[in-house]
Parts: sequence; structure tokens; C-alpha cells
Amino acid sequence: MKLVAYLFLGLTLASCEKELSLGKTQFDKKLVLNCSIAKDSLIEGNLSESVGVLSVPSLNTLSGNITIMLKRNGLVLYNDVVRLDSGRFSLPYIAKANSEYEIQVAYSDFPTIKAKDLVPANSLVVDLDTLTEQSGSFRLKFSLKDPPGSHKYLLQLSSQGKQVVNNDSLGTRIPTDFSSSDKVFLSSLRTVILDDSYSLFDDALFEGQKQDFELVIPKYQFTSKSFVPERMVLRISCISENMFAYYKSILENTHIYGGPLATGFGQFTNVDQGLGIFSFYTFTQKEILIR
Amino acid sequence: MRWLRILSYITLFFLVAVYAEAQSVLDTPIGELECKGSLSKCLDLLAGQTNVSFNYKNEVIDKAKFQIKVQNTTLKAVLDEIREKCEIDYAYSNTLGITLVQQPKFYVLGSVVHSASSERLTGVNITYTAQRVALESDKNGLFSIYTTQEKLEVIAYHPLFQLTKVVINPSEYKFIYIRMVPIVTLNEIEVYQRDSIKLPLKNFDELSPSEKIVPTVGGETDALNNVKLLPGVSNVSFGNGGLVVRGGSPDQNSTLVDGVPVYKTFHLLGLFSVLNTSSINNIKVHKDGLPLKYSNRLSSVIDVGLNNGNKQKTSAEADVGILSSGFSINGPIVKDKLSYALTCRRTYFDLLSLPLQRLVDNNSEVKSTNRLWCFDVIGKLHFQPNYKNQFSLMSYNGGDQLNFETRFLVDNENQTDEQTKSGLGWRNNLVGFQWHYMANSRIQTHLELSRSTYNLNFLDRYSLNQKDLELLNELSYNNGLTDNRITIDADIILNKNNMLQVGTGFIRYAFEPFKQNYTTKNLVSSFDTLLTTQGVNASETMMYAENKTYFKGGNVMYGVAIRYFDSDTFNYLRLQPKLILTQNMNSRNQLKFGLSVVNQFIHQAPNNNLGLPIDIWLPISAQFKPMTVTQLSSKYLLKKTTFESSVGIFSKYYTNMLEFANGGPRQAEGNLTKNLVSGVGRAYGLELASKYSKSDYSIYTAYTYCRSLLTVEGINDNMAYFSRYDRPHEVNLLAEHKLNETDKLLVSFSYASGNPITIPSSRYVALVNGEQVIIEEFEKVNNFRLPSTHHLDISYVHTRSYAKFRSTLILGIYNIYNQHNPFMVYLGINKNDEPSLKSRSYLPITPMFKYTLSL
Repeated sequence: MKLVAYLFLGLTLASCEKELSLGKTQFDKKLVLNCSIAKDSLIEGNLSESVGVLSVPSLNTLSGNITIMLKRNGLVLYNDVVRLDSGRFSLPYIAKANSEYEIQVAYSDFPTIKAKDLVPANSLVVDLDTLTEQSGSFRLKFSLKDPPGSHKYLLQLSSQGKQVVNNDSLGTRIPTDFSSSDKVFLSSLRTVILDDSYSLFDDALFEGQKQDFELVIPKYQFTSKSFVPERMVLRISCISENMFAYYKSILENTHIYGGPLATGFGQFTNVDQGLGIFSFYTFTQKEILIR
Repeated sequence: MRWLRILSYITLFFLVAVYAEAQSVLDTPIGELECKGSLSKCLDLLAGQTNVSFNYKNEVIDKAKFQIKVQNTTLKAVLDEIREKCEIDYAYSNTLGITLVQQPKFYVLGSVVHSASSERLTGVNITYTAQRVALESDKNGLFSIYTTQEKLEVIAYHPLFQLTKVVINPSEYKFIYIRMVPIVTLNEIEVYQRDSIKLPLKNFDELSPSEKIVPTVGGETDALNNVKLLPGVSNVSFGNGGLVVRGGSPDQNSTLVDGVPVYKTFHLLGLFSVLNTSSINNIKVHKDGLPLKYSNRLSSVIDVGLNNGNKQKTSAEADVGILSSGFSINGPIVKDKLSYALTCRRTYFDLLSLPLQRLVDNNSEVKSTNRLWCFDVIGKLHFQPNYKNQFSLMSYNGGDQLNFETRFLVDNENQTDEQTKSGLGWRNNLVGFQWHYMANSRIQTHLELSRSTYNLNFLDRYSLNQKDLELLNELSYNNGLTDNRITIDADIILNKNNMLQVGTGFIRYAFEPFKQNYTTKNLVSSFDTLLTTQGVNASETMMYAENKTYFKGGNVMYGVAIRYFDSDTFNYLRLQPKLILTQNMNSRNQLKFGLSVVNQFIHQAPNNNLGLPIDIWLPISAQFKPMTVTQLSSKYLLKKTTFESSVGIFSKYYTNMLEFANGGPRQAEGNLTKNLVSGVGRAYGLELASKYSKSDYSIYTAYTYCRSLLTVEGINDNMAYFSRYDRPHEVNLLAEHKLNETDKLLVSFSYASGNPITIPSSRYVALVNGEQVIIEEFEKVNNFRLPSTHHLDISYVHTRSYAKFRSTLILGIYNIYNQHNPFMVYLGINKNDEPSLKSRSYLPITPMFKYTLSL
């Protein structure tokens, strides 16, 4: 009896993987805009195209001339041809606080894409407290002074150190995973459950006040002998609503389609006739030595 | 003596002369007679043509209406017609002419039960003297007969029971109690011409799962698995629980157990339903013109009746199988009056896998425990103090639990103890009370009180305990609803042609808020936070009246329900008309036509962003009006002695159908309805079924062609698209061969087209946190159809009777050719490192085993 049961369990639980033919799928190629611009930085970004679902997309496949019209608060700042260099473009304008920028990009036979966003005005006050070492993890404590009004934040953590490549030691920075039990991260459930190198949160629970945070940074990610971390880099950005929605929808996609484990779908974009994001943010970056 | 003989001859001569005269009068030819209106006028006309005088009391004739148009007939034929249509009998005397008298009317109520257990028998074919319409016992095993006969012979027929005849005098007995003996105990078989049984005028499919064993995965004989064999009924998709009836979503089906609604009908992965076969007496599946009492779901009503329990002696059954084991016991508490029934079932994946896990973890510092288990407990008490009253109390408790636990215990200086626990589970709790009262042979009343709750829970916990450290992170959420209802209704036989059902009911829904709880404890801080959506209370009040009018060879059922749905901020009033016409063309052919309008006020949000298989029930709102379907259907049925076939078509028009614009609710934002949009829908199809049975084998086949489309503003360029429940072709085949008295072989084959799902149409690169991330773009909803699913199962059933018990052994193989049916789809990498669309399947070829002992 037990033998039969084990046999059955083995057969049942050993699910099988099979490749499916997608057949001839038709889709409309679209331009993809990747522009997340910091306040007081040059307005620049990347233009690429979407590819079929079984192809590998790239950021730098497009080149040649594109026509860009840039407006600030409804007034045309720029309307001319720009050279696209492996997908990258740059405009000689600085993103100014509290300004609404609108961009229109025309390239080849693609429909002209259009997007707009507001540059946040706030300057963030972030104070790093301590980085302590405990068994299995580091603990990073810091505080954030939230300006008045409703704000959305992006927290990014990275480690700066030496990467050993072929006996050469190169300075490098790598994204660093963390988790936190802090309730302000609940707007992004996955941050609570899983380790990740960035997190989203809003100020609903501490609007206009100073908030203390603690991040738990697992040590296992520094066990590689080829990388020696020297500093922990904390970057907190106050991001636009569009950027928050864009990052959030990326976090929520489980990439499973059909069946009970399927996710919701619909990646957010604020690019009309195209894909991607055109958004602005302000940020503050702090570093702390790892002893 | 001689004089006596002469006197006898004279008397006989006199009588013969009188009879001859009477016959000669009754045989009076009538050349042409056309009459319409009151009977008295027709009699005057008749008297004028035949010179025969009619005698009657005015109250007998005054209100009677009569219509006739005949040529070259006799007076007797006309009088017979009057007797048939007006229920007025006649007698001839040479002095008075023809005397007309009112025929006596009798209403007789009958009950059919099993001879050994007194368990009610449903779907028993009832024939009786001078029968006008086909009759079957209802879900309570009851039937009503209207007759004018002084002596009534009633014949009860059921294929698994001995033909039973009862003769009564309706003027003395208003209640017939028929006890039927199973065929297995028969020594002689009475020959009965089955074709003489009229086609029943019913508008639902009826199943008796305990009588029909159809083993499925693991050898389970699931009650709702038999329902899936019906044309028009299919799975959501392979590995998903829930039924799709005529292209409608699973939440459009109302499953009722003894009148109590069940909100979760299948266990995890849809392997089997929550209904244990041994506890079920009958299942009625309504797809055309839903019963107005329960017409608050768009697609179907699946009405499950539980066994009342054996009122004669205690009987028990125990089974052991690969997936689950069960036990049931039922018997009398007070013989012939009060009985009980208790059924329990539990899966034991977890118990069997535990030793395996321990073996794997033997040399590991991490000990893990993964548990998946399902259970069902059903109990029922049935009390019948007399034939007029029946009381029943039922309770069900069941659910699933999936737990993953790990423990990392290190005996070092820090005394590290790290534990994780994840759990996902749901529970159904039902309690129902029914009182069935027969006021007299023409009026029956029913009172039903019930409470049904559905809850789901999720837990994810991490804890780390060390010498100087205590850390706890916990995330949990739960959700559910409670449905409290009371209904009271009555079946009233108005007259020989009309049976009226009236009723009223009240449902109180309490939709629990979606609660997410976060707990954290560490050296620095400790907090316990609850995020919750707003709970909603709503009520539904209904009244209905439904009449069944019988006419020659058929009936028409028509009625209307009024439903009022009320919440704090909105309310809706809806009328639900219904019409079903059933006409027997002759003893073998039947035609049926149905038209109905149904509304639904609550719905299920089937998906979520955590990617877990949870079901969240929500009410309609001020913004979104009640979902509505208008259904037209027709069916042709052919029934012969060994062959039965049906062809049906249906067409459904939906309005206010709800869809999520992005495929699922954004629960993390605390607003489960944020992305809802509404639109219209359409479903249509063809249903074919045929059954051929001979003494030692039978074949059943069913084919369904069904399309289900939606048009929703903002989805797929506002164009119509196939819903995820669109499975155009479905074939079910079941062949049964009786090898001998104890052994039989079953072969079943199921095929269903794949259903549409949404996959990305293109990909692009996004820069996220300085890294390149590939993002999928979804241009269209339901843009990819999964491959079709099919499997062939073979099983062998061996039954053996011993002196005191009976055993049933099921052996077989599920999915004999090891078809990999898709369960879920994702984008992966193939062996050439190229992006590839992949499906994952489960349940390959698996053995079936189930052994049942019945006392």
C-alpha cells in the first residue's frame, strides 16, 4: 500500500514541462522610451523598440536621426532632429523643479510617441545613522524627513567596493538586496516578503514627519571572493506618480500566464502610442563605510 | 326451480333490452356538430339533433365550458369528450334520458422510498390509471396525482428497482407510500414494456452519483465529476477547480447542498469536489430556466440532495484510496422516524509524504515539512414524525490546507533557531434546517433556514531566535463572506391542470473586509499592523410565483421572480421572467423550449497580484449594475427502450459583465474593485448527448460546441473577444461493460479545446534600478489559446457480497497514454537559450485504487 502511494505521489508531483508553439503572432512594434531624469540633470534617455515575445529585446538597436519636440509648461523648448547613438539621446536642457515637461519623439515609420511628467520640487533630508553587523546580516539605520504634502519614494541600495577581475582590482558598485519589516514598505508587498535591491513606499504613514528606517542586509551576497564591499550606498528618490506606478507594476508581475498562479497584467506606461516611461525625480544619496 | 329459471331469463332479457336500447340511444349518429362556449348551450344543441333529453343540476353545468367540432360521430363519442374535458360523467335511463353528474375529484400524494432504508427515491417513473401526463418523483421522493377514478392503480418504475404496483381507493386514501425493492434481491424479473412509460416532462438533468460509479484520478468517485459528463458542462481549465456551464464563469453556478449554498465547490487543483459521493442522494442540474427560488446566478443551479439516513437499520461504509479515505455511517435513532447520517473524508498526501521528507532531510540541518490536505465532514439528522411533516438538519465543514514549514536549528553558541512557515487554506461551513409540511394532498410547504460561510487565509512567517536576538516577520491575510438565508415556499395543486409554486426569501450577505496583517518583532522595534478594506453588508429579498400548466402531452412552466438587492449606498430591483414549454410529440419524442432572464448580484474576483489561487467574493456596486443574462434554449429528445438521444441549442445574451482591465484586482492598494470595467457578453452553442444500453454494456457520449464572447470598453480595442471560459469543443465518452455479476470494466475519454489565456504579445527592455529588465507587453486580452486537453482512463470495478457486508474494489489507470495537459504557461528558455513559451503539466499517467467496504 505504501509503495503504491509513494509511486503515485512521485508521479503526480513530478510535473512535466513542455514547449508550446506560439504560431504566427502579430503585434505592432512600438517605440520604447526609457527616460527617468533627476532634477537639475540633462534631459536625456534611451529609445528602443519592442520585439516579438520570443525575441530578445535590446536597448541599443536603434540609431539614426529622430525628431524630438520638448515642451516645458506648454511652451516649446526644442523641436529638431537629434542623433540617436546606440539608442541614447540627449537634449541641452536641464530638468527644472516644479516644471511639467512634454516630449514628442518621431522615428522612422513608428507612430509618434508622446509623454509628459512633472519634476518634483522637494529636496530630501536623509540622515544615515548606523550600519551594524549581526550574525548573518548588516543592519542599516537611517531617517528621512518627509516634506509637507503627499510623496512617493524609491529606495535603492548598492554596495561600492573592489571587484577582482584577472588579478586587477576595479572599483565597482553592485545593487544590494535588503529586506525590512518596516510598515512603510507595505505598499510594495514583495519587499516585505522577498529580498530586493530597491523598494517603493509612500508617506501615508508619516506625512510631513521624520521617519526612522531599518534595513536588513543579508551577508550571503558578499561571500564572493571577487567582490570586497567597502561602502554601502543609500539612495532615496522622491519620484513622480508616473514613475511610482511604473515601478510598482514591474514589481507585481509574476510572469505566469494561465492557470491558477497567473498574475494580473498590464504594465503601466505614460507614453502615448508607445511604451516605457518618461518621468522625473529628485534624490539624495548617502554612503557609509563597512567596517 | 323452473319458475325461477324463467324469471331469470325474463330479467336477463329485460336487462339486455334496456342495455340494447341504451346502446342504440348512445349510438345515435350525429352528422355534424359545432359548438363553442357554455356546455348548457352545447347540450341544447345536442338534444335538438338527437332527440335525447339531458338531466342535470344547474351547478354542475353552469360554469362548464365546452368546445367541439365533429362530423359523422355518435352521441357516445360526444359524451365521452364532455367527460374528458369537463369531468362530467353520464348515465342513461329510458325514463330520464341521459343524466349528467359531476365526476368525483381526488388528489393523492405519494412518497417513494427504498424498502430497506426508507431513503427517499427521486426520479422514479410513476404511471397510473387514466394517466394524462408523465410523472416522476421529485427531489423529496414525492409525487402528486389528480384522478377521477374510484380505483387507482399506481405503478412505480426505476431501472435499479423492482417494478412496484399499488392499488388504492382515492376516496379513502389520500397518501400512497411506495416501498421499492432493489433489483439485486429479485428472484424473478417482471417483464414490463418500458416504452409504455411516458417521457417525463422535466427541465433538468438528474444524476444519482452513488448509483453510477465513474472513477477518476486516484480512483476517486467524485459526485460532481459525473456532472462534468453532461453536455454543456466543462472544467474551467485543466487543474482549475470550478465548473463552466454553457460558457459562463464558475461563479455563475449556484451549488446548493440541501438548499444551502456552497461558495467553494472544489478542492485544490480541482482534483475532486467537496461533495462526498456516499452522502449524496441526488443531483439536479438546471441549465434551462433556473428554478425561480434559486435564480440568482446566471448559468446554472446544481441542487444536491443529501441522504436522510437509514431509518431501518444502521449501515456503514469505509473506503481507502490513493488520494483519500472516508467513512460514513447512518442509521435510525428512532426506528422509522428519526435517522442520522455522518460522512467524513480526508486526503493524506501529507501523512504519506512526511516519512519521505524526513528521509530527504536526514543529513540536512534544515528540516522541512510540506503538507497538503483536504477534508470534508457532512452530518445530517432527519425526523419524520408522520407522513405530513419532515424535519432535517444538516451541517458541513470542509476545506483545504497547504502548509510549508522549515526549521534550521543549530546547536552553536548563539543557539540559532530559524523557522519559516507559509500556509494557504480555505474553509466552507454550512448549516441548514428544512421543514417540509404537507397540509393536505394539494398543498405542500417548505421552510429553509441556512447559514453558509466561506473563509480563506494566508500566512507567511519568518522567525529567528538566537541567544541575544529575537526576530519575527509575519504577513497574513484573510477574507470571506457569510450568507444567511431564510425561504418559505408552497407547492399548490390548483386543479388537475395547474400546479402553482409561490415563495419568498431573504438573504443577508456579509462580505468580510480583506484583512492584511503584518507583525514584526526585533531588537529595535515591534509592531502589529492591520490593513483592511471596507466590509460590505448587503441583502437580497425575493418573491416568486411559478405555475406549471399541463395540457395534452406536455406542460408549460411560466412565472416571475422579483429580486431586490440592497446595500448601504445602493439598491436594485429586478424582474426575472421565465417560460419553459415541454411537449411530447409521442411516446418517444419530446420538444422543449425555454426563455429566461436571470440576474446576479455577487461575483468572484478570480485573480490577484500575489499570484495565489484565492477567490474573493464581491457584491455589485452603485457603479456596476447587476449582471443579467437572457437565455433562449431548445432541446429535442428521443427515447427508445435501449437508446436515448438529445440535441439542444442555446443562446445567451449578457449585460453588465465585469472584467478586470488589467487581469486582476490590485489588492495591495486596498481597493479590490479599482480596475473593474463592465461590458456585454454572448454565449451560444450546441449540445448533443446519446446513451445506448443493453443488458451487459452501455455507452454514453456527449458533445458540446460552445462559444463565449465578451465586449468590454477599454479591452481589446472595444472589440468582441473570447472569454477565458470559451472551450469550443468538448467530448465525453463513457463505456461500461459488465463482465459478469460482480465485475465491470469502464473506459472514459474526455477531450476539451484549450481555453484562451492572456500572454504577452511583445517584449522590451526597461531600465529599473540601473539594471536592464525585460518587460512583457500585453496588447490584447485572451490572445493565446492553450492546447486542447484530453485523457483516457480505464478502470475495473469488482463488487462482492458477503454474508454481512459488501465490498467494492476499483483498480485502474488515469491518463493511460500519459498526455501532458497544460496547467500553466510561462516564458522560459529552450535548449538553444532562446526565449520559449512553455507549459507545465501535472497528473501524468497515474494509478487508480479505491477499496470500499459497506455494512
